[in-house]
Amino acid sequence: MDSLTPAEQRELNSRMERKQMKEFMTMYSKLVQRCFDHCVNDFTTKSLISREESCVMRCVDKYMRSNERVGERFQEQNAAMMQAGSMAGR
Amino acid sequence: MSEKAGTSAAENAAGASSAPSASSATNRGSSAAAPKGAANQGNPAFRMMGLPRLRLPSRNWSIFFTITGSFAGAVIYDKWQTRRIREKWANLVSHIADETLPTHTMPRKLTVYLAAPPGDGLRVAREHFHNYIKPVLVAAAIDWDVVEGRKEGDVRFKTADRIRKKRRRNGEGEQLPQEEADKALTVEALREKSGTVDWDGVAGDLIVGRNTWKEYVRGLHEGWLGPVDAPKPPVVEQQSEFQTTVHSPGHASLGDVAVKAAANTVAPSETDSSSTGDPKDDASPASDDASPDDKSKEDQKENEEEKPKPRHPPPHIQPSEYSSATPSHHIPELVGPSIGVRFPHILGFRNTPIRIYRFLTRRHLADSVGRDVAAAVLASHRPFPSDSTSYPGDDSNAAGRPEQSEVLLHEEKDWWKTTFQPRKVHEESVWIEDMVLDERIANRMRVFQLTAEDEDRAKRISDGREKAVTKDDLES
Repeated sequence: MDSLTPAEQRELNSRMERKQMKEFMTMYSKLVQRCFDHCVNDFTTKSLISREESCVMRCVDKYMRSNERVGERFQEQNAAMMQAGSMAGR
Repeated sequence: MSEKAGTSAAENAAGASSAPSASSATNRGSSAAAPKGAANQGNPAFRMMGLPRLRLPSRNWSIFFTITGSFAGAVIYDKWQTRRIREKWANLVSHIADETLPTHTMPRKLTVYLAAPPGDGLRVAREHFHNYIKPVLVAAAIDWDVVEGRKEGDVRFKTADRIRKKRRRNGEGEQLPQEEADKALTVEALREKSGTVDWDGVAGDLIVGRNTWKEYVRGLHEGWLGPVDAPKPPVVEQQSEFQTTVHSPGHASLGDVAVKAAANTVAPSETDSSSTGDPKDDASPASDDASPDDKSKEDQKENEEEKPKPRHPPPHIQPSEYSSATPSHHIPELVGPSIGVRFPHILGFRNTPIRIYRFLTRRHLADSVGRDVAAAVLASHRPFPSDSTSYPGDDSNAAGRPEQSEVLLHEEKDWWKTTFQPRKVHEESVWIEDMVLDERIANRMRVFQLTAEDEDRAKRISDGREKAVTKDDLES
């Protein structure tokens, strides 16, 4: 990060932001896809019936929670790898 | 009953009286007299009874089928029963797997202590774990951590080391120099930042085998009663150097002698080391020999380099010093409830009949191990009985020996005889020494035991009167 000029850093930051936005939108669309596929299967009526309503709510909850958990474990593993790498380098 | 047209005269004679009648005796007599014909007609006794004309096997084949069939039957029955029993214990605890867990809470973590039995390798122990212990843990979705020991003393060292690490994290003893970046990257630091907490409740230890139990108890005492930092080796004028380092190298003997040979001063070093008052490590014998002679020192140095080095640093405290030591301030009220899990293991050609018997009765082992692991998973524990009070349902401890020293005692009979030979210098001897228990630690130990109602429930599950609780039955 220090080897880049300020202009390059700004460019890097903006690119990172765009990438993160894209990832966020991807996650959102995946979530919608998954919950719809799993919960909604009664097309005799246009609106969501209460069973589907509660299913969708729970689906979103579980998805976000599992995302959180996996993210945390991933972060820990990442940090452990970085630590091991830095220790090996020393 | 219709009779086919016979081919020989004897058959005709036999066929004449083939109608079910009381004259079967004569019939049999006549058929015995004409063997060839009778063989074609099948067993006359069967013919008499009206059964189809099957061919009975000969005497030799009968013997063969009897032996093979009975052995195969015993094996198949035993395998079927072990599977049923394993499922029974797994179903008893399966309801735990369906409980919800908040996102920032780590699941409950049991520690499994697994050591290679005397005379064998670690793989046998691992298979025992995979076959009998792991299914119950998996069914209850319990997280587990394994402390493995390949040789004698490994489990002791690792147990004591874990406890010391915990103590260091709580702030005792000298802190190792650690860079800031490292500190921020550790798993504990990350978890603190994100607010992840450990499971609140008992964790628990599963100890597999009598040898492991002995090492576990020794490691427990060493960890809580011994000093957090390694005792400084009784070394010479380079003592100022050694005082700053915390982890004195495990092979203190080598360093000692090398230093001594280089330094050439022995008398002042002896007074120095005695004044620091650190507990002496008995496991480094070379360092105790403080011979003032130059030549013998050099000889010693050469000997040291040839001798094998001990696997681990010497223990921080010896059993003889337990009574004079003070336990750590951070010692918890309960030193992890624990349970000793059976691990029958026997070697030897002449023990083959015993081994065959054990192979054919593995369902009893599965039942016993499953019960112990289920008790640990359901976290129902009771205190070990102390000498003065007698716990209801306790085994007779007439000799007054505490129960901790009797856990899995029967396994010592199975140990290979080389275990009881005196040890070499660089080897540990935890298995053959008596268990030394300090009251302060022993009173904090608890043992897992299944409650009566859980036993009943297990019985009902195995009888089929009760079904295992599944996700569909639970309200979300």
